[in-house]
Amino acid sequence: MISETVIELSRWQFAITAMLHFLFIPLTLGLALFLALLESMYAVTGQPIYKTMARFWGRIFTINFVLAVATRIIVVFQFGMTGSYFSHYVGDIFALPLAIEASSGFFLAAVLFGPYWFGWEKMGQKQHLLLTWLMALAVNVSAFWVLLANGWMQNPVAASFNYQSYRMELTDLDLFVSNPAALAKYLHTVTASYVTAMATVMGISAYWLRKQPRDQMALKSFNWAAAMGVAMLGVTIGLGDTTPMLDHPVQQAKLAALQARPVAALLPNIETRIRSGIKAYALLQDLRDDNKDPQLLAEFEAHKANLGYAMLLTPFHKTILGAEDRHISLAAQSALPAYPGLLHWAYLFMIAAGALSMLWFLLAGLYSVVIKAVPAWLVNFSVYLAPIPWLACIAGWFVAELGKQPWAIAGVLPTFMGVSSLSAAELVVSAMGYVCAYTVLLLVGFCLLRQSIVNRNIGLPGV
Amino acid sequence: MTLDLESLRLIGWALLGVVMVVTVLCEGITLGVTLLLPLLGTTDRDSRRLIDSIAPASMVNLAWLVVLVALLFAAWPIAYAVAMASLYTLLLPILLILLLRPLTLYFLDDCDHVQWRRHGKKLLAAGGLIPAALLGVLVGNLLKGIPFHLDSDMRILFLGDFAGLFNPFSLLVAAVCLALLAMYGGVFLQLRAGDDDGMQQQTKAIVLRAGLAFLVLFAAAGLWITHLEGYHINSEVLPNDASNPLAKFVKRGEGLWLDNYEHQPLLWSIPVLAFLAGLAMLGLSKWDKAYFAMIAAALCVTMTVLTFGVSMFPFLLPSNISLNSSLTIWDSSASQLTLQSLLSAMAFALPLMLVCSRWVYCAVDCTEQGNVAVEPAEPE
Repeated sequence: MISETVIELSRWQFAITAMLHFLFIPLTLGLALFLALLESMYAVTGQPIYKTMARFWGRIFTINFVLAVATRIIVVFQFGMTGSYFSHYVGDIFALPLAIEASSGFFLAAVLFGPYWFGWEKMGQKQHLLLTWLMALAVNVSAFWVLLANGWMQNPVAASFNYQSYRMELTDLDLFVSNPAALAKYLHTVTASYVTAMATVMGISAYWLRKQPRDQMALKSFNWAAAMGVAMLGVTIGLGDTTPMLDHPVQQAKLAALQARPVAALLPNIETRIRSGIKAYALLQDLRDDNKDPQLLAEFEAHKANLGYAMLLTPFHKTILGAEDRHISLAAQSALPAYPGLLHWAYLFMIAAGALSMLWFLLAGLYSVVIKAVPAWLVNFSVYLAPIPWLACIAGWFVAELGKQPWAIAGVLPTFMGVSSLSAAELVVSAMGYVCAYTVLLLVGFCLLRQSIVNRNIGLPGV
Repeated sequence: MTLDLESLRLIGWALLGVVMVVTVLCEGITLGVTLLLPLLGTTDRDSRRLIDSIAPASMVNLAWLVVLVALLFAAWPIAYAVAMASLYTLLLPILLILLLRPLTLYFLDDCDHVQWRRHGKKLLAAGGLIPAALLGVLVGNLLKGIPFHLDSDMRILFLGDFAGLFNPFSLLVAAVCLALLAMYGGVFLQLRAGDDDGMQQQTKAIVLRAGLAFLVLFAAAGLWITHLEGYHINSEVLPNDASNPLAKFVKRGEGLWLDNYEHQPLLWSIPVLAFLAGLAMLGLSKWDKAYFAMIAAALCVTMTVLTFGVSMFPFLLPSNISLNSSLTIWDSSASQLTLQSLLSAMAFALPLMLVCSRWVYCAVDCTEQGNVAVEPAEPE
């Protein structure tokens, strides 16, 4: 059994590196589409202001994209570095969409990025426009594959345990790709990202408008972002609550915690699964001893879906086999969300932030598209409201990931099982390294963004 | 079309080889040029030129690295897990520096922060040296075997220490790696330097020295390998069975890495070609045939990477402490369905990726030839 310190350090390290990557995703997704629209407008109308806008928001996109790629590299390595058992146990399924993503959407975006940023003057207008649209497509495709992997962690379909290789293996590709949890997650995340990106555009434009109310570029950006944000909200509402009702006990526990309902009713179900898991574990030991009895195998097949539940016992009864009733009830207890109150409030916060941004967008859309004049109070508000959708995004991510705990893969692999057998010293040293590097990264990123916004230096490409 | 597991594993290995070669070819340019930054970029103008020659394509180069790692993860999950967890301390500095490198490449002169102005360039130079050297150490350790053990439920235990990774052989491989990348980056710069005479002469001198160093070090590493302990599967190989690394026996012995060459003498052509291409590159560079020197250098890099891959076949990660835990392509792959899906996707993606990468370098090349006038657009 790995020490508690190592588990906690690994888990926090992973959570923080993943979150710092996620921080740059909404702007990348949303701005790419915004840029494509602006450039199309320039191509259609020929008004130079659209080009200026595309150049400026292009720069914000560039800074963001570079940070997103840089933090992405860390995440690619992190799965194996801090979660090596996780990587072995579910890599057969989990890594497939990641590899496809790396060689499709991610690669395409990386290829186009250089010519996009360095080719403004060199390429023909149509060529560059095509490039921008392709890049917007690429980042959205990329998000789909990543969220397919992420959604699978919530709802692990199309997977079964193979006793010979001692891991989960993919059983059905179609079922895996059409995972309802992943599709719902994709739509939700992408629309939320668009809204967030548009909120940022509106916030920055409002900042300029406060200084110079007749600023054409700021006005146009504000109007466009408001219109696009309202359209996105329309899509979100049109889709309705697409989150599928999963009858998984893990998701039920999460849902109960979100709604502040008591979760104790789920305990008997979990205990039954743990007992079944213990049986599977016992049979697995026999099978691993090269016992190929078909009856044994059939019995194992019947129980193996609950193998992950047996792993919940390890903190209470190391060997799993021979666990007593009190161990089982402790393990069942540990399978419920640890901080239901925190989850509940984070969830409420997300809803409230979502509602507030909805109101803001509706007002902004009303004034800028219908009435065609943005009042000063709305401009003032917009500067301060810009971070709200960001916080909603972070809260949403937090709710989804924390709500799944103690599981890394819902019902399949507990988080504490997934971590690598590293030493606490290694983790402390690496944590310090990460703190230093990320501090530099965030400082420089912030400094670049601030400079661009204040000086509006759209000028020279990247370097 | 359904292929059996054996063919899928072989194709997967070949694919990993191709992606690894292309990764080194692409990322090698970024690493090689940044490696030379302290030597060639002494003035602001020169360092600007060096950075401009690699910045536009550097994102693609990095993307290849991501593809390589993701491919390893998907096709050989446990090999990925062992490599990442066991080499944790070695990978950490590489990662931290790679995290900051894109910022230094794209925004070195853009950020007004005082500390950034002072240390940004040093950071970029470190972004060449540290990954290049440590990747060499990593390759050296793969050949020597990594001290890991798999227990019965496949939990990975690393039983070595950080200092042990810096053994004489892996340091030699690191030196080979540095010389190779310096040579490769140098030839790339020679090609890009165009009619700038000062730059031409300087890079040429570096290419010649690095090329000679590479040939000597590569030969030395080759000689050492004949006495290095290699690995061999001692039990029957079951290439169509489910992946279980613990179901085989492995022996270790001096010179076993040369086994493949003895069974298939044609394979000797790979290291020989690496050496010959290195020699050819020296001549071509000296006589200012920069374009052909670049081709020779790329061939040399390709063959060097292939030499490493072919010597280790079918091993991915040998363990020197628990021999039977060693991972080979036959017993640590993903399942049939995953491999099949992955390879079908890659069959489409890989050709496109190769074409796109080549296209980016062309696009960058045009910028270099000066038919661009980059002018800041006027803000309203």
